Amino acid sequence: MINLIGKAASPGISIGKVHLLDEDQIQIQDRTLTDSEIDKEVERFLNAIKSTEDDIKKFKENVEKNLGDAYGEIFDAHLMILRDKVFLEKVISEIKIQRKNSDQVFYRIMKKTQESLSATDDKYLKERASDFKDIKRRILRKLQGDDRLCIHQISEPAIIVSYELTPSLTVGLEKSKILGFATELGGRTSHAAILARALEVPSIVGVKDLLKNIEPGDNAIIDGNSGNLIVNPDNEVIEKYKSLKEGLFQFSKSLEKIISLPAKTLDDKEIDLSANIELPQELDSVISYGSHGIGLYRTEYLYLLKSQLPTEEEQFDDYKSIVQRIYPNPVIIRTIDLGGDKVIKTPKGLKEDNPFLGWRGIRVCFDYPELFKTQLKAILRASTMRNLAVMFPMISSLDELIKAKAFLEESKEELRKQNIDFDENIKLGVMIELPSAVLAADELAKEVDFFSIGTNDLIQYTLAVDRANVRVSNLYQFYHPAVLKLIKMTVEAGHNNNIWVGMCGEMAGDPLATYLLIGMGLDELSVSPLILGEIKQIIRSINYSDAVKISEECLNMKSADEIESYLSNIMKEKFPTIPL
Amino acid sequence: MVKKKMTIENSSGLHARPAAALVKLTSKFPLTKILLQKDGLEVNAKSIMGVMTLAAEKGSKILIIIDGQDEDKALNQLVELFKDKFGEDK
Repeated sequence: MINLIGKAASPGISIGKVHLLDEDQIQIQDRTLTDSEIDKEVERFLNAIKSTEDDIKKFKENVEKNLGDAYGEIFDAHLMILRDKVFLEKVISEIKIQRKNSDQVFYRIMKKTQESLSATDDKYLKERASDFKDIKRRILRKLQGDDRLCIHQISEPAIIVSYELTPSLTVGLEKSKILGFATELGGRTSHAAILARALEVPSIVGVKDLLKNIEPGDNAIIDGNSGNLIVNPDNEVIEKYKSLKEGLFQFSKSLEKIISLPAKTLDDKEIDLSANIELPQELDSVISYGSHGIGLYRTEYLYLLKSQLPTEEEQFDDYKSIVQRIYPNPVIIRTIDLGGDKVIKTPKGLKEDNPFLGWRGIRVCFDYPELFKTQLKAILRASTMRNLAVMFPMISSLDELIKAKAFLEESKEELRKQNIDFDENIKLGVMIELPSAVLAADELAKEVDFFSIGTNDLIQYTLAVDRANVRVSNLYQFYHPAVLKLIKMTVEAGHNNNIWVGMCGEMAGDPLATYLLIGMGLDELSVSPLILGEIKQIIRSINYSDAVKISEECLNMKSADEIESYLSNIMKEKFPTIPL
Repeated sequence: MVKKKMTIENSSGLHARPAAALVKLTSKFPLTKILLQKDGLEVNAKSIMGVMTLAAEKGSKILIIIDGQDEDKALNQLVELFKDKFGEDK
């Protein structure tokens, strides 16, 4: 039994057989061909290319049908490579000259190309290197008559374990065959993580030494709540997780009856309980779990899934479709919050030692006005139903907020000139996620319609902890007294200026925090759609007056441990069935 | 034979989409030899694999070499494509 730890990327528990995608250990044989074999070998190679092309075309159609045309473009580069005459002729002539099997010849040529691409500092071109890798593997599998890569051919439901999951790898798969994902690479915004949340299967990403510790045919447990992966668990552990899983299931069933009811406390304090989403595909869960609206639409995926920046039109279509489905409930779009290198090719020699303290979020937008205004105009154009709001990430000062607002105003003006309709009174918010923003909250509040506290970054920047760093991750604490003080200060600054204050960070979705947050006066909580029912159930079972008292107790306590165990005891007593 | 040096001006360089646009264009001149040179590396401009192997980032200088039928026409169209930033950054 081995216990591995990764980043929890999609909640839930799965127990089952491992389906291993051991991508980098492809056996390349070395065979010398006789005269009579050469033509056959060339034919074999061309058949493999043809068959791969057919597969990719099918994947492309499948993706376009399920996710939309824009996603299909991922495969265009693949298809062009397969139809590259110069390249194909090179492989064929090398087969003839070297008298070697096509797998080997092809593998070597691809590897060379891939290496020259990987050697550049250019992010986009580097990403293309993974396209090459992908196509290299596909053709090799074909040549070896081994279709292991196609996950959709799994015979029984399994936990997919792989080094990483590329889009084309995950396309043909059926939800019914997938118990969960675990990948060695990747963070919460990786393809595997996003897909897992959209499919609602448990998932862990960024598991160090995953492939080293797992063999084909192993059994495993993945706990997408805690980020634990247990390889070949013993009976005792299996039983423990089975009962945890059953508890989760029973609990989620019990939540079905409150879907259409408001998130209102017993003493009638209503909270806007909204959902965080990153893919339009998540809308089904948002609606089926009874959300008030979208409290945070992260727009980054639009920029990450394609090799070029999304156009105003593409963004508009995307935003509009969400706004229409959620109407009349509100949707809050956050302008992009990415490291600059993800959207703009960074000049050589500008590698960042501290990307979290570097060029990201609104800072990138300021440096690239066209990028920023393109998104703002797309948002504005999608606002005609009057249920759309926009918010800016990473604001650290009043100056920055005023500057960002000027961009918004400029975008409005450009639309006015073109007589394009939009919501003139579109609501504007600011993410409170830097300690400096909390300290400036009173001034910021006078410039916006709402605050949304982003706890992930607020905690990281306040406590100076990168929670992905295992050496210090225990210092990353929701319930650190300093964090609670900052939240309280933000709420007060907002309310003093008559604007509402919400929270869209992960803390908002921690059941342990609900009492505390409601008691501190938060007006809105925006959480993962998968946990929405649970938080609603808690809100509907408590008194606001109790929550106020509990939050006051917490604010007087001196340590995170003390606060956490205090809250934990209250929850265990009041909600014995809620999984914490 | 005609030659001309061009600079890559779209922000994301010669990644898959612009490379594809370039190959589509050069393929319209099946009888003409079209090569691209960058830092001593020379590739066939009708091969997407070749073009992408150049790993040409923004600011890279690319020497276009065209030899054969309609070489001026091909060069003009290629120069336009470069100037148009391969249809990106708009």
